[in-house]
Amino acid sequence: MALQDLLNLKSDVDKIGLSEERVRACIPVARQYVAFWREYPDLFVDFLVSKNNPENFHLFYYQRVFLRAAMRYKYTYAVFPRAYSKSFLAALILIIRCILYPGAKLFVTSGGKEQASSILKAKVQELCHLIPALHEEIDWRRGKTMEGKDYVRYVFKNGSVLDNIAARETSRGQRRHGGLMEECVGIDGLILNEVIIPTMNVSRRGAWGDKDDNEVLNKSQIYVTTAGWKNTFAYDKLIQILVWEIIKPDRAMILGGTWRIPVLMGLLDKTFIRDLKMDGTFNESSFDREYESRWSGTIEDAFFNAEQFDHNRVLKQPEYEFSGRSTKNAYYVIAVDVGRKGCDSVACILKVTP
Amino acid sequence: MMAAFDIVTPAHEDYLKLICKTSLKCHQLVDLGDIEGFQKMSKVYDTLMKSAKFTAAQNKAESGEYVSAIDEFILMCEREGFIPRYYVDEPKDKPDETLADLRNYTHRLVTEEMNLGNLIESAARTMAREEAKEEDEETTEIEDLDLHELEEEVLTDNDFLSHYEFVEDEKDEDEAMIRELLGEEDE
Repeated sequence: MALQDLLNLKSDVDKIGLSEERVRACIPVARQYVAFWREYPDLFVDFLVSKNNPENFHLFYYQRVFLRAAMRYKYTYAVFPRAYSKSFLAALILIIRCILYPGAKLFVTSGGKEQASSILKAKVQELCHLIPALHEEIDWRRGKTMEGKDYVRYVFKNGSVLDNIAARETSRGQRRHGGLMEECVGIDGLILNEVIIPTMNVSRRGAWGDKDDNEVLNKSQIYVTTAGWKNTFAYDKLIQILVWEIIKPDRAMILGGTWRIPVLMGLLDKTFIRDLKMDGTFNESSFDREYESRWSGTIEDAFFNAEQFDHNRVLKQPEYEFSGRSTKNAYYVIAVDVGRKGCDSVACILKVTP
Repeated sequence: MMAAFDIVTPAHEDYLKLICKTSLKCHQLVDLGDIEGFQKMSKVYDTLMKSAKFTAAQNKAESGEYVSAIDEFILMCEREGFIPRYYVDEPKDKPDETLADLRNYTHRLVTEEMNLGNLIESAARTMAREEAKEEDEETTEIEDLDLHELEEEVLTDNDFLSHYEFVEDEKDEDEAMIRELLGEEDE
């Protein structure tokens, strides 16, 4: 038996453990890999499933494009139809960021707190099932990761945290480094600007002991939604990021797509789309919004902002009779549209305070 | 052995060579039937394996204890210092090309088309003007047609005369027919 033969004995046997020496010896090369994976997250996913892929998971071409865009740019706005796997991809991005940026604190927010937690919980569970390696990255011990009804928190073994925060005043003062605005058509623009975005004021402190304000992760915002109405906060934000894409090409990107891609990839049934088109109760405008990613509604130069109008519809102190709370010159204008033959009568009461 | 254990330092490699040589010696001694020599050599072999921490028990004990996940390993990598961004100077594959193409298209569309807003507005105005023009033309055509038809249909005195004559004839014919019918009934 030659010496070389003995050295090569059981060369097909996997290493059982990783000693500190072996791990430390790999660090110089691994640092290059980390930098590379931060730009090519799809290849990181390929690496994760290369040894253990029970569900035969693989990314579609368009998903690779989305993942790279979301990882490379600070501001990403994606308008996609149903079944485009947009929430799935956005959650995957957050998990990959948590892995590749130790100590990152990322969040998911949505119109309702319960909605964000349920989406995040469902997507993390699905991803851990499809990519078993991701399950190993999360610290599942009690007191670390928690999965509640309104709140979910995933703590990673490198100290990164992914959770959901409510788009409410109560979230004021919290600290995160980046986040996902899931179904942002339903998020109150005022709360987002005054409460949610300021949570990202502080940059991540890297494990080397310092901060890098230019790091893509810091203040990163991913907006994901189906199309909604023009003259809303979500649409204005889309236009804002489009403008940034032009003037700050290395920082912002917008993406969009229609039902054709998920149908092509087999994620959506074509007959379902055909049935929807034929369905008399599903109007054309709804179809355009939900499946064509077309923003509908009022024209851009409309006199009223529909969202602002709706916001002011709720009176904090309604008057059910003359209150006397105003000046002596105040007066009321009452307009009545009388309904006949069973129709509703509508009265508009305007209070004028000169 | 290289695959099953952590062979990292030169000391590890040296230990491994000694172990391999000892193992070969053990085989030779067994083949020669020198059991006493084999027992001594196998003790040396075991001692070397333990000293080098190449035993299965130690390997098992160490498995997954130092680093159990990639994120922990990345944390170690970052502790070594700031990791500079991987510079993607040009598209390296098809998704990169797609991404670059999308960006360039949007950028070119908005920046190279000067006064894009004015262009859209002017296009909208032109369309509105064309539509108004088409409506005007249609109206003019209808008006022209009506006048022409009117010119053709202007009634003259002869027309009125012939009409009254026609009415009178009709009246006479009706009366004649009634008379005939009544006469038949009388009869």
